This record gives sequence, C-alpha cells and structure tokens, in this order.
Amino acid sequence: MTTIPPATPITPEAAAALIAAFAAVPFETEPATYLKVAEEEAP
Amino acid sequence: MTPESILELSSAGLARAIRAKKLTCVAAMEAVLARADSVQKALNCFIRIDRDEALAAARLADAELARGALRGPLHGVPMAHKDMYYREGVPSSCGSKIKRDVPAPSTATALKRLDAAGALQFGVLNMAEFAYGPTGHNYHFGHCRNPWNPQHITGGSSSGSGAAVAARASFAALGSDTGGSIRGPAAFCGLAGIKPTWSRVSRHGAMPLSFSLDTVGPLARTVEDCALILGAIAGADPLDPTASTHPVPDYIARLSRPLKDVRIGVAKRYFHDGMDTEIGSLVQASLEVYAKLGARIVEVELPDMEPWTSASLMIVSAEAAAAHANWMRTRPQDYSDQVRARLEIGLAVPAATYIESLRLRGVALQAFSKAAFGKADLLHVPTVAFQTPTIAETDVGGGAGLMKTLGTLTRLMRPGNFLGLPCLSVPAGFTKKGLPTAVQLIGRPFDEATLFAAGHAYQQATDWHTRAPRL
Repeated sequence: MTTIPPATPITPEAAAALIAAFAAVPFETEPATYLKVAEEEAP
Repeated sequence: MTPESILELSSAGLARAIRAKKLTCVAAMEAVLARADSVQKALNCFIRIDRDEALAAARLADAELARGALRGPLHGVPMAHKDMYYREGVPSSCGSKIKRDVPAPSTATALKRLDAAGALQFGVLNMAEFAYGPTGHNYHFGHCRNPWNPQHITGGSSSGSGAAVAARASFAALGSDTGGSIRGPAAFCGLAGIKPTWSRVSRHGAMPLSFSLDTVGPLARTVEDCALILGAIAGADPLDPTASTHPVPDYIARLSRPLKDVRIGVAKRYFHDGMDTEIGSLVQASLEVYAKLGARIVEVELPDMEPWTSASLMIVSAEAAAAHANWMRTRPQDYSDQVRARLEIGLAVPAATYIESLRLRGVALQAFSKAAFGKADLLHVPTVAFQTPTIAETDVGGGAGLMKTLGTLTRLMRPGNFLGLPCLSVPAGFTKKGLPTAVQLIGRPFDEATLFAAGHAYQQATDWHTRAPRL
C-alpha cells in the first residue's frame, strides 16, 4: 500500500507525512509495544 | 456560611469545611442545587438534576459525620458528571438520542470510587453527542454555553462539565479526554483539568469512544482539587483489564514540593504555530511566573508531531466507527449530521493504516520522551492557540469545513492522547474579551504528581482560578 484512500480524516499532504512516519516503525513492533515504552519512560 | 460563600469554596476547601463542622452537607447541597437551577436556562449545562435523591444523600452524609464516620476525603462534596458515566439501572444519555432512555448495565468504577471517597452525585451534565465533538454543540439536548460569555463555546466534549464547574453549579465534574475533551473545556471555561496517563483510571462503565485513547479525569476549580479527585479514582481495576497496576502516589502529599530547580521545557515547534498574539502573551506571562517560582526554563526541540496527530485521528476514527457500526447500520438517522459524518469517515480508514497508527505509538513515545524529558521534567505549552470562538462560528454540522474546524480546535491536545501522556490544563489569564485561556503541562507517563505540584505552585502565585463568571 503506497497511499491512504482520500475519504479519511486527514488531508493528502498529511497522509504522505504519515506514511513516511510509518517507515520508522520496526517490523517487529506491535501495538502493545506502546505499553512497555510507557512503563520504561515513567519516572 | 452563606450559600454564596459556600459556592466560592474549592472541592478540597469544602471537604475541609465539612470535616471541621463549619457547614453541613445539606447546606452545601442546597447551595449548589439552587445555583444549578439559576444558571441552567442560560448555560444548558445539565441534562438531569436528581434533587430529592441528592438531598437524601446529603442528609445521610451528615448523619454519618455526626457519628464520626468519615467516608473519605470528599465527604459531602456535591458533584455532577458528564452523562457518560454509568450508574446501574439509570439511563446515561451519552448526549445522544440513541442512548437517552437506555438503563446502564453497571456502575462506572470512577463513580464507585467517588462514592467511596464521599462525593455526592446530584446530576448529570451535557456533553457532545457520544463525546465526539470538541465545541459543545449538541443537537439533541441543545448547545452548552460558556459562562464567561454565553455566545461562545464551552469546548467539548465535556461541555457541561466545563460550564457547570466554572459557573459554581458543581464543585467538580468528571470529563473524558480522547482528543482534548477535558483540556479544551477546562481552558475555555477557566478551570483546571487533568487528562491522566492513558490507563491510569479505569474506563469500566464509561462510554467508550476510542479504547486506545480514551481517558477519565476531572475538571475542577483548582489543581489541588484535580489531585484530590484523581487520587480517589486512579488505580488498577479488575473490571478494566487495561487499567494500569502502576502504583498511585499520594498526590496531595506531593502537592507542595517546591519548584526550585524543576526543569520546565518550552517547545516552540508545533505548539506555537499560528499562535494568536494575545494568547501568546498570556502563555509567556505564565511561563515567567514559573521562572519566578524557581523553575529552570529550558528550550526543547521536539520531533515532528504532525504525523502523530494524523495517526491519532486514524485511531479515533476507526475505533469510533467500529464501536458505532451496529447503530450506523440500524439507526443512522438518529445521529446528528456531524457525528454521522465523522463515523462514516472512520469506516473508510483502511485496517492496515489503523494498525500502523497503533504501532507508531511506542516509537513516537520513545522519540518524544528522549527529546522532551531528556532535558526537562515537564513541558509548558498552550492548551489552545486561538481566541475562544463563538457557537455560531463553529456550527459547521457535517459539512465541508468539518474536519478542518475540528482539527484546529484539538490540534495542540491530540499529541497528548496519541502519546498517552498526562496533561494538566491550568488557567493562565483572560483575554481582553474577558474569556479565559490556559497552558497545559505535559509530563512523563504516570508522573501526574509533578504536574500537580507545578500547577499548584502556579495557582498559589496567581488568582486566575479564583475568578468567577458573572451570571
């Protein structure tokens, strides 16, 4: 998938930036990774 | 005490006065019920007031106190809440036509914990339909109005919570925050409001909008009140598997920590884009107060957050559409045009994009934490960057300007939801039009205590939070 369809909540320009940001996500990442990071970043 | 002097108290102040037998729970309840009646026509902030039940509960609370039984730190404090916190057998409208007469299946954990702390619920408050709107418009129950100027929005979705507490018609109120719904109304109405760390407060019995982003928290007159109430409702809950087991500190005990050498980060990127000049001056003046209190002000360079805001929109759009899919198939005519339009947009978000957006959260939180909290203990950024708009200006329905208007209103708040970070909105003064504005303090995950200490110190040095609208 190279594009996000137009009927979405963001503009085409924002969609392009979002796709670029997705490229920084390692292949092994799953949504729950967020919880682990939150615990690690807690004081 | 006179009814007027009772209503000037904060939640914490009222609880102290009741414990000291300076007034009764019944006197406090009668004062707030009379005030609620007197402001309702102008503000439309209540959906229901349970007068007889509330007075009976206040009499019981007085009887308990007379025999030395103190329920908790909020004993006798009257509160009304956003009408999306369920009480078993009682309808919670969620601001909607669809749920207005449907009895709730169980009681929300947040309400049970407030009950246990001694708070007395006396009614339910107006809100955006299904908490899916940042302005305070509601086409089923009528628009909620800002007590500082009824032509202006309250912000949403916790519109009634903002209006009622600011109008002294409730001592505090629960709101919910998925994309700014606590912080927006707190800022527009001149209140403190805490969006806690995601998972800090159980969502059991709270209407879902977007389970990856939804948070439960209070709007109140003071930061101290927010700390007191969050302390009562936070913590693990077997009824909500997502509620964190991370320990809940004693926020009140940590409230008076000095600000000396606390590092406050200022981030110009993103948060100051297109800033209104007058709002910018108030934000800067707020920062100078923190500096005078001994905080060290440091500049931080944040990563590009535009994609994170987009990702949060993908998540809320897809999850809200999924939650409402059945009613969208069977009762689409019962939604207002705006909510139905937003839910239709969510149906068009590709599954892969939704999941990629969720996968981005951990990476984003790591990057943000490194950039922000490597240098600072908390961030000081505006809650909103613009003057409070009028109800008419933001009455966009489901039309072409919908997403642009909504995006502008929530822009500075969505990153906090996407990153799951605690964000405390604190009043920071008034514009020349007499409308409040605010700063949000953003902290590390589960570090609400540092935000409360900073916000409380600021409120000890300023008087914005003591000012009440004339109604």
